[in-house]
Amino acid sequence: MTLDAAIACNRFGLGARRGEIARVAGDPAAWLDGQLNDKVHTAFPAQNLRSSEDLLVDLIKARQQRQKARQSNGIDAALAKSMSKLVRNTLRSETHARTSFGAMTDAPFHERLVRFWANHFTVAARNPQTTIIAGAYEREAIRPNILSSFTDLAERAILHQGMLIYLDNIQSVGPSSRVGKRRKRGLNENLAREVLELHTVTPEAGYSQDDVEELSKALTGWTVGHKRFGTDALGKTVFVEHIHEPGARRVLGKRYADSGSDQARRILADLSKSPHTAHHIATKLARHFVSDRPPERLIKSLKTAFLDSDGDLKSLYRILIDAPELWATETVKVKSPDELLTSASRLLSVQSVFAGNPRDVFTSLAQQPFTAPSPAGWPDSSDHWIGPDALSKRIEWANRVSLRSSNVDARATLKDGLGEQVSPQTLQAVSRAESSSQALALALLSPDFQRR
Amino acid sequence: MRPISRRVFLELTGAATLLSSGAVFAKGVEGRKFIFVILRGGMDGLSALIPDDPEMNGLRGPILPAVQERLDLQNGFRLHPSLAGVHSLYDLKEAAFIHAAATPFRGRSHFDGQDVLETLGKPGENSGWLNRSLQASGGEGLAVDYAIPLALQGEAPVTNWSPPVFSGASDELLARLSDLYSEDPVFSEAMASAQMTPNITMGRKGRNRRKNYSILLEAMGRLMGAENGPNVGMVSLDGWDTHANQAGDLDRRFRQLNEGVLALKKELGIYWASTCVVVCSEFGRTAKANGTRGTDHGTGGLVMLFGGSVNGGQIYGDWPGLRANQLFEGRDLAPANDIGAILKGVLRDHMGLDSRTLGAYIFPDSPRALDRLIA
Repeated sequence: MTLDAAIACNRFGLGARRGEIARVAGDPAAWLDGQLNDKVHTAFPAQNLRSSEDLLVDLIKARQQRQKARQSNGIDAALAKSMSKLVRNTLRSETHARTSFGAMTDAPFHERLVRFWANHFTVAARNPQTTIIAGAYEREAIRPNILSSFTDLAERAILHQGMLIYLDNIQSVGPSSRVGKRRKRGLNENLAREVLELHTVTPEAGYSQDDVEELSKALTGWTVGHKRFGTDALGKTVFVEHIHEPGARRVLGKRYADSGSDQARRILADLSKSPHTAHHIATKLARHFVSDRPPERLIKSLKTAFLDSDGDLKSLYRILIDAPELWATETVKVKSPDELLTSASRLLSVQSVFAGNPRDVFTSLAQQPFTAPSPAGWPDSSDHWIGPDALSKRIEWANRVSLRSSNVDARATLKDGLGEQVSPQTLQAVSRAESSSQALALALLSPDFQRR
Repeated sequence: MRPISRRVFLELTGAATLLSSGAVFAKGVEGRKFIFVILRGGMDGLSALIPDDPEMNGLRGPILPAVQERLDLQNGFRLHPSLAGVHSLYDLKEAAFIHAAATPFRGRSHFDGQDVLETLGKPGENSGWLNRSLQASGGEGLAVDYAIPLALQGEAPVTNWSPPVFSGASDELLARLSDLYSEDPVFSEAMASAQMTPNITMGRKGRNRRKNYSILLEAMGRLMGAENGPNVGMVSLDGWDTHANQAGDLDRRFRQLNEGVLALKKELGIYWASTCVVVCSEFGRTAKANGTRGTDHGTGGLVMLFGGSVNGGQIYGDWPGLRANQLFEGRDLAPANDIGAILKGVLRDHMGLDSRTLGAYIFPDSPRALDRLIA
């Protein structure tokens, strides 16, 4: 039973904190189920963080100031600097909040699911706008909606300012819309393409370029409030009729009458409920929780639950909790850098894991939060994370942590963190270490701690 | 991920514990070597290779080095004084330039511009052209970078190496670790090829140096110049977005780049003769200086070719001129030469890739290959 407790903490959760394994040992499954609770997301410490809307308004103002300075040929270096400082500081505060919450939350299964979905619906920092908003996007679009239905979550994510900006929908204009005709501006298909390919049905559904174009036409009009739309909803997600492409659309064989803002919503809802989407999500969940080659049985059972419940996400999580594959003794998945750092922070402390220099640690391990390399998000496969350079960097990191954490009893720490999941070889290597810091480095680098 | 030659890591790091035999790259001993260096941020080509154009003074006067300090190529262009080593390579016919070069990208965003430069494919393409060319040529790619850059992403096997951020672990810890990993195939394989570093790369300490161009290029030279080293490599050099007070900043960057190219030549040793290095940026910068003694995002940029394979000592391509009516959108050096066409010519003549594969698969949207770049 204590093995199950360790698995609940490390495979479902984000790595055991001291005492966590013992605390949940009574009924690990019930502990996990208890986290599927709407109250949990409100515990996220967002008091000092600002909304997407406020952040975007700040950025728009900063840009206008710079523009003015430029037009009057004034010196804008200071303004440019203050803008980039605003952007940088926001990213830093968001990263800090996410990191400390991951280290202390009592609902780590819930938090793992938040991170899973934030990665599925990636919005990554790639320019000042997306950098400033990536954290707020995760807090506003993902965090409150992961216990809802996939349809809800998808709509909240795809139509959030963050995604509309990240995948260029704010630049997309219906060619036959009022604005399109006047300004000769046109479609940007980026969001539509990624919705089909990555967020919902995947190429398995056999959609065509026409489907991409049709969806992108339906999505025109969904944008972020800006003065030129004559709206006072500055920084908010808005639907602007006069850039929306008029007319009915046909996506994957189904016709959607032009109902304005609702047209895209109805298409997104249908895509969200497709069996292809069910299969895609089932596979990704199974891959995340079990192995890079996820078992067919589990995929099938998740897919069935998805379709039977109309994409109710809690039903999927309960399938995971009940699945024997997730309780298997053998640990297969190598932790991503984010998982490694989070689990180490939970066991030691954020301070000792990052040693006052989070940016260097994230850069070195090549996974800075909110900066996924593409709309597909961070890879979720062990292969990707454990190449030679990656292992070198993990060793350097663990070495540094261990040298700064003398007085830590590595053997006890390992038992706190892994419980019965720790192997005799690792315990022996740690026991035989020549110093307490070497022992801690070996513990952090052991295959047992590097996997989940 | 594939391992990098163990011996190379030993040399890079001074000393290390010997672990089980490292694997090697599939090709490369006799083969030709190709290195792509991306200068991220928009390098100011007009500061690197300065035209003897009467317009230049009005556009840039105070932020360029004095004419008498510039290194004259005797063909209407002069190199920045910090590029003396590059100048000597030009004299040896091991350097060539193409000015006013650009991808089809005409926006102003670094990230979108880099995406285009690194994919150079049809819309929606998400593999990099360098990876597609590896699929055609065989062999493996190496990035000197913390992660695999977009140009190298795709089906073909690639790996990366990056300078340490923190100091290395002791030999004793490494020995114990390899022992601990012995029963675990995944970790023991990664360990065997990683060859841990007991000290900072090449003896130069300090985290501020890990972004030093010269160190990164020198490392690339060592890794690729080793016996069985890879035949395709990519290095990202960040920090070229010079909006304000650029003269001093560029002076330092050009100096590092200059040093780095010479270090690359030295480290590649005999392979330099069969090497081609292509250096370019996502876009150039505005022709006219801005109000803060810097330049803003522009269009036409500079492509530099280095290596013994290059048909050097020449400037290729068209020069669009700098008069107001010749500038793109009235502000940028016009895009007169296509970067895809340059890369196509290089990969065809240097790496021996056939025109059909280049046209259909690697650069499907690029114009005809530029000829004669390779000796």
